[in-house]
Amino acid sequence: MECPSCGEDNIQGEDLCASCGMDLAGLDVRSRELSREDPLLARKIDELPLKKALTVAPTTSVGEAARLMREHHEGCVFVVTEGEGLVGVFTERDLASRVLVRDRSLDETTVAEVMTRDPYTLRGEDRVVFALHRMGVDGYRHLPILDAEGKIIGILTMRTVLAALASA
Amino acid sequence: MAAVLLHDLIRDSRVLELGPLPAPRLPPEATLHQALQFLVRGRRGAIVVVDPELRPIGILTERDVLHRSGSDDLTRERRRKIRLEAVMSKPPVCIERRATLHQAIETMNRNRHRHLVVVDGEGRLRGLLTTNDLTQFLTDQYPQQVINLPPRLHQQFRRPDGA
Repeated sequence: MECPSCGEDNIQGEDLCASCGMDLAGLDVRSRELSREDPLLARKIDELPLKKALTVAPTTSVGEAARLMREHHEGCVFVVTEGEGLVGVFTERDLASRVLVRDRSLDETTVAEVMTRDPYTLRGEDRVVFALHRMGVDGYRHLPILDAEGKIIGILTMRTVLAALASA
Repeated sequence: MAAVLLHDLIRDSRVLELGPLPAPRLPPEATLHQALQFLVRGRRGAIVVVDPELRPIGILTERDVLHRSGSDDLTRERRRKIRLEAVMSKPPVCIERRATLHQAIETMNRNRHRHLVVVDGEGRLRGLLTTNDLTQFLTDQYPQQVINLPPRLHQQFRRPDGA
């Protein structure tokens, strides 16, 4: 029984993973087949090509954030502060739905006012299957990937995951 | 459902097996203002511009809006006057609904798009395929109990509505 969290090969029927202590109860035969048969999903996120994350301060204007996104052909910027690190994300969807449709000014609105707070994050050593799941269930198109210190090492996009699955 | 390789699923499944793929659509005479409201309300990331025979002639995506946001086209007054046909991307990248998911993903990557306009054999609009539809379909094929486990012990899931 392979632990879905750390990959440790445990004795069949174990309740807890011998390596990381994760609860293995209830994982049936199918799950074992899944991790064995689908090597791609068992891969770690940092084995896939990550895109460089654009970051801005909370006080940045929406107009400036949009200019940065246009320049770098990116669909989102991550909002970071010195003390707290990653605090939010502002996407091209937010630009349309929270700024333009509501007739707010691009120059007078700050990203902090219209960003989505506390975006869902994963770490480089997490498995691709979790990224696919969050994307499929919640519709996240960009997942910030953090290192152990909580610093952004890159972003994983839906298209990258799909490309990896299709080319495997 | 028996465990299958995602790779085979992508090669063997066809776009039409994904079920309804809603495509918000507007005629080219619509204003950019109307298009923006449709875009936001539709929550599909794009709207398709069609002729009277329902043939796709253009597409307006959230990315197109981002790229226009630096120009005067998006000022409050101007977007109530400017027509959709003046700002849409054309021609739209289409895919036949009998194409495989593999062909769809390849087409998306080749064009660096997240949306494909789905058409039938006559070239009429049948839907809008997004990367989100593909990840949702693939996620649905897997045993939930495996995937619902947190990636690390004691991790709390936070649920914002975006990104």
